Amino acid sequence: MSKKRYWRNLEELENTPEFQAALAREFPEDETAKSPDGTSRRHFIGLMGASIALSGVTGCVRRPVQHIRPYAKAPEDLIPGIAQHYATATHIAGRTVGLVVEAHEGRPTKIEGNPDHPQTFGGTTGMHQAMVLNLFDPARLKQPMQGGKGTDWAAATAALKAQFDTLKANGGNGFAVLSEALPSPTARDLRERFAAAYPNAKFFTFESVHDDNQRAGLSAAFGTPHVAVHRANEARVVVSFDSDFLGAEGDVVLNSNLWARNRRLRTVEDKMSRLYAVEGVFSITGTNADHRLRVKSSEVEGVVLALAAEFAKDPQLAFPETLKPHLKATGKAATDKFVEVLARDLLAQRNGPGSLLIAGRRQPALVHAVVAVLNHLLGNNGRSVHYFPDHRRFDADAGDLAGIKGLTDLLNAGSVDTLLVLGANPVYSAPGDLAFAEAFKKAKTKIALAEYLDETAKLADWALPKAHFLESWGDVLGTDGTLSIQQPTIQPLWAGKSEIEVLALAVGSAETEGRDIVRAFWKKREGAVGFYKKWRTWLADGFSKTPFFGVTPSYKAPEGIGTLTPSAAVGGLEVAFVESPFVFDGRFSNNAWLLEMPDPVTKVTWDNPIAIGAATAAKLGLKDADKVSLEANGKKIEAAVVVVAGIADDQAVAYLGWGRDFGSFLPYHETGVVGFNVNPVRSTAAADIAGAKLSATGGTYTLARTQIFDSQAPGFGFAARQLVREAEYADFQKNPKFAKAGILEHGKPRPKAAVVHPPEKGIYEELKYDGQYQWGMAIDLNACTGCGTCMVACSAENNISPVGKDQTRRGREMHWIRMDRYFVSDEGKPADEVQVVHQPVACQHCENAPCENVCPVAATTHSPEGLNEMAYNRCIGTRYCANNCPFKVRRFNFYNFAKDYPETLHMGRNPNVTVRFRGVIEKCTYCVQRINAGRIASKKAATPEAATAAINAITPACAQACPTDAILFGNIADKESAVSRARALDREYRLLTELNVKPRTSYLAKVRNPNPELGS
Amino acid sequence: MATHDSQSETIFPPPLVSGNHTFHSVTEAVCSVVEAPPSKGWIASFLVALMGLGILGISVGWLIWEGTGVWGLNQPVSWGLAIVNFVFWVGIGHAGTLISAILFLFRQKWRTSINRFAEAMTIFAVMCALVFPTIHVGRVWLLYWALPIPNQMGMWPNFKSPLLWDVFAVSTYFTVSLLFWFTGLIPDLATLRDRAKSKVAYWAYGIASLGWRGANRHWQNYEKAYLILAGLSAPLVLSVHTIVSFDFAVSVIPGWHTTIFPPYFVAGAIFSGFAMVITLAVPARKIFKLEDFITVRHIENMNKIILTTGMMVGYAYAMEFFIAWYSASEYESYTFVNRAFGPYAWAYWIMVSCNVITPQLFWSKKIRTNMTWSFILSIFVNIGMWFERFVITMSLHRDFLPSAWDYYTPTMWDFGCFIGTFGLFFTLFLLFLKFLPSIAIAEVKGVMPQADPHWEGYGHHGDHGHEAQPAHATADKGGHHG
Repeated sequence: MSKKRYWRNLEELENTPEFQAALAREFPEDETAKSPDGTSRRHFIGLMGASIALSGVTGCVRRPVQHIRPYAKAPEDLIPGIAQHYATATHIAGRTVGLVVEAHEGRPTKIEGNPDHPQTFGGTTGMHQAMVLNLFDPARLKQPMQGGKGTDWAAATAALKAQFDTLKANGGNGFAVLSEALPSPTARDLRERFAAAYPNAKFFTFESVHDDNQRAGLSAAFGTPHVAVHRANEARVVVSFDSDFLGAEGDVVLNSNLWARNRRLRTVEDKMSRLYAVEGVFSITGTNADHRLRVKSSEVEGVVLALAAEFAKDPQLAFPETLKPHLKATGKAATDKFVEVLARDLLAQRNGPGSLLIAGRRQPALVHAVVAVLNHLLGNNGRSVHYFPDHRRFDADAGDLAGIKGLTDLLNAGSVDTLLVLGANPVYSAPGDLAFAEAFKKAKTKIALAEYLDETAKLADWALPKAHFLESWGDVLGTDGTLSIQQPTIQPLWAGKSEIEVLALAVGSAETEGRDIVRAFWKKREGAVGFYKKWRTWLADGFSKTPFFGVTPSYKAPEGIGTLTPSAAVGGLEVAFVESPFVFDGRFSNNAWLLEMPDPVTKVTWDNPIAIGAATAAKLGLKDADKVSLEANGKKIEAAVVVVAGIADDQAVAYLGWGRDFGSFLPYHETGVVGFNVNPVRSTAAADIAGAKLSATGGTYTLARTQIFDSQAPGFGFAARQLVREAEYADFQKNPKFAKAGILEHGKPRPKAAVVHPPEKGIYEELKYDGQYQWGMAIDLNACTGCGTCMVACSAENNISPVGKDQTRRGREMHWIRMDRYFVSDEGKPADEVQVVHQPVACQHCENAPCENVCPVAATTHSPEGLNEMAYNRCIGTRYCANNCPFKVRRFNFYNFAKDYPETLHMGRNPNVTVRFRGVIEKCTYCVQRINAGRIASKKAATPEAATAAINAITPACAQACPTDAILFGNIADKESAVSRARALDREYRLLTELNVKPRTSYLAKVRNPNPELGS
Repeated sequence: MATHDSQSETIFPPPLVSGNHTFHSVTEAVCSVVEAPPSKGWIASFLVALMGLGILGISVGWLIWEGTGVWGLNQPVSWGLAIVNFVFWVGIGHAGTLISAILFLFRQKWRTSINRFAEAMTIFAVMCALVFPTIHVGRVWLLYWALPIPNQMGMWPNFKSPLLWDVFAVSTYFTVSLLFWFTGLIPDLATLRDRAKSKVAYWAYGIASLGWRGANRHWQNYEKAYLILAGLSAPLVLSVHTIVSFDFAVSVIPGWHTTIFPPYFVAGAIFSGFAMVITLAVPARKIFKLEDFITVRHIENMNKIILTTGMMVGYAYAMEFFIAWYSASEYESYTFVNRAFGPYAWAYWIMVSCNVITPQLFWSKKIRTNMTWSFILSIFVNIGMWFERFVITMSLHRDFLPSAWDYYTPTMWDFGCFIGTFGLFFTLFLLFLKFLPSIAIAEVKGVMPQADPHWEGYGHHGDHGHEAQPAHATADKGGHHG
């Protein structure tokens, strides 16, 4: 019999290398995908073809072949089309949140906060919302790489095992591990076992956004490393010393939620907390402060010591002696006045409603120690602040910066043979003075467990794909000792392994799979009896309801400040290195949802320009978007500046986490590098605050901003528009209905009535809304911090396309809900003395929607339940509705943004929401898919009470994600619903009511609570 | 024309056809343009126009291939140059029907030499205008959903939408204008048929002239049909731009939501339409040696209309500001102050300069009877009226919520579509000049002294200026054989 060959094409027959390469490449790159406005040759040829065959092209679309396969063996409890929810948890740099993950047919599509979790309360940050996109990121490391060549886990495991056995034999000599912060009890146990197996090995932890200062300060105060857990709901006066506790720092979700509880004014009798912020940067916390003292970051310490000096004057307080020598006033009249008033305000709360002082991550150890002392003196310890032992690291660990420095020294000394990097990316994020990349190369065997082929993994001998938290088992402990079990919702897409699995491999653990490792640990710890039931309960709840699990708070008095001394003053311009609220330390810098988030203050997307205040800009002769060089710690980087009012004089703000090169994965983003890497100008000695020099290098950088106009008073001397209405607490008590009367701007009455034009009347008969369900929303501007979580949640829920820097610059961002930010300042004050108001704006679902009657094809119509609905399939894209929307919340698909996505990203889409095609309008639907699900649940309910409960449980993604519960949604026809009660509040108002559009979204006016002694 | 005595000059307006023309020489003058081989100038112009058409093809092709994003539009400014151009072209398309229909109904004899010309301009301008609503939608291939076509979805268009009214208004206008133009062409097409030397021309003009023989019965039907169509067209002149203005006026956007828009738009349309007629007529009469038919008096009359409508438009600009202040709506007030002093102030002041200030020069008889001045000022008006639509459309860039404000910068593709429509316009116009009688031969003959029953015959008319007045009976036009 002759030997026959079957072949597909000539390349296969010849078996050329090109063919082999084409086979291996699963998703061939589209080389023609260029910037849409730059005409490439290929595009031009395509265009020529199009203009010839214009009418014909639409008729011959070749549709991709799709297969629908049934489950041969259906998983239990899985009903196709019905989402499943799993409780899990994760952490960012050791800060835990409890989560509930929505999965459709096995694919996780949406991450939400676990409402029962005591450190989460159902909210999240934008980063948590966006983590699902990281899971499906096609740029992830997909297989183990040995020396840059792909291999598989079998080969990798065998090689690593051999390596580990050799190291074990010599007691771990020359073995070092660098890990990111792991708040996992299992990991801690593995680390102990690791230390036993490799007695001579070194174990370091490193987080670029480190807690070293708090660790050192609280060590001085309490003797051992501690972490502060704040409960702002227990405080009437909250003071932030350069801490963005509402933005990106620490337990943000917990802090935001608890802080907002004392800001929710329902009646005139309700008390309201007061927030002071002392800071140089303009943080989210600063934008929410009732009083903000603008001092350079390095001068905050002086303010804290001056405040302590005021306390020391009080004979009733047992003031620690070690601190007394350092106390002195700042010597600046305005600051000392502020400090004096602040001290009085704080002391007034001492035996009353309580207060809370929060020291920022960037502030030196002394500040943390002094703040602990002051909190204790104010009686806050155990009430609004709880000090827990820091379980994320061993007490003997050096801090993060000391750790990375120690490792670098070892590497440079040539005493590291094998280096195992667990999750961290030190080549990118280590301070510039260490020249870590060079040191890293000196280790003989470098093993990196990384989600991406990042800067570190690229240089490693073994790059191992790290499993996403949605793919792996684990456990995370909250700072307050809440134990959460991290359970996966999907098999690892790219055969990744978790940190604990790799540690277990190094230790030589009997269990190799994540689930077995975690279970075995807890079974051993909790005892085998009844463990199965306990484990099932943990998995179902997502956390253990036993409080203080594993760690107990320390309520002992701080002993003082030990040997800490004040730091040296930084003269002239200084730079503060701040974690980005969206890409954090760089771990989310390939996440388009987060890259496209506008900065809460500057509104810049897709970039991290160095931010400076108006006065500093004038002094340095810099203009907005100028290209500059930033010099600090003896190094220099190229960057751009953004000028934003409100930053302290002589203060520059540099966001960490940007300037990484991923190769573009967004079809409409032109380059792979986004922003500027500022790590090179950090140093281990000055990693947070450093003296700096900014000089123009000539030229202008292109910044993409989502909001250009910053003021409600729109120019030409026009009075402010009544968009965000605000009053001071005292005025609110006098006139609780101020928002209805049209008083705004620091409680002053308007110079003339806002709009005396008679209300417009429709020419058509207005719709009657008398059905059982009428949907409405209420947004409490007093609780909203402007963090932007709602925007990311909306993108995740509604399959909203990110559009890239170029399109954002052209004003084509697709966010269905946007965060408007206006600056407010008093006349005659410097431009930098500003306050900020945030206002989330989505479709207002007007009962008389102006967008509806203008659509020639009736693609947008009103539902009897009051929803302004959009039929994407009917839309032909005249954009008339977008023009006629007074709120400008409608979004147009200028290109086929959703088309060119890699296959994996399609897996993460919400199957209940249509993916919009090019040329159609889209906008907020109040999450109509959730409304429908709730209505169905209500119809199936056994009792009327259960039916109402099902309706009340309907929560749009934005409202669900909001860490402060500022957004309420529900049935306004039911007078008992939360949203109806909110609409009945005195502070309620609606936007542009004079247009007779009758919005269904209400706002609750903002009330500030300034200290009368300081003036507004 | 021979000399007039001073008395007749004061009593009678100058004749509508100058030069020593007979019926035959009129036919010759008009038909020779068509029958002669194309001149080098025509070929050169046509090639340039074709290039413009090519730009349109490429711009529209790229737009449809790539998406609306190739234009400079953004979130607050969802309508840009496409809508500006649409209104601009529709506006230009007004003069033709106005000249043919309304002036016809008012028995304004001087219209005869320019009406064919102006009607052709109207039809081509409306065709250019129609390009824009077609291509500006996001999904061009579904545009037919905006038409009331029975369909399996059981969906009608939304009759509340001004855009739908637009569809009806503009398509009606186009249809009636086309019929009106074609009806007027029939006797002249028959003339061309009768003079045709080639078979192709004979058959082509023959089919187009619908068997016209110049019989009395034909003339009677023709006159009736022409009168009816004129009667139908006249209200359309007012309605089309009124409805186009509803696109803006029915919205809630400050700067758009204005009751003054319908008359203001109609005045603006007439203003821009007449300017465009002058822009075309002044060079055309020179190039094709039609000075005897398109006389200085025609140009002057049109300049007077430009002066009048220009002041109406100027009044509207002032009134918008007054109402913005008087309404006490701060959004409205802001929009207008922003118009004059905001980021688009340059466009606003170009508009005011071109539409209100420069036409004032037409108060001077010297200027309005000077061809060069007329041409230059008509260009100014064209520019000014384009900017008027730009300024109005750009009200979008700053409306209610300052957070949403942005600035719109057109891209090369925006301009490509705009320039391209000029290519389309001039391609069609040059084809018209070459293949159709650009002056209504039959009608011109009707206003010549020869058509007067009291006319004393060739050789006498020179001495009796007062007799050289147009005939009162329009039914008395000369035959097509001339």
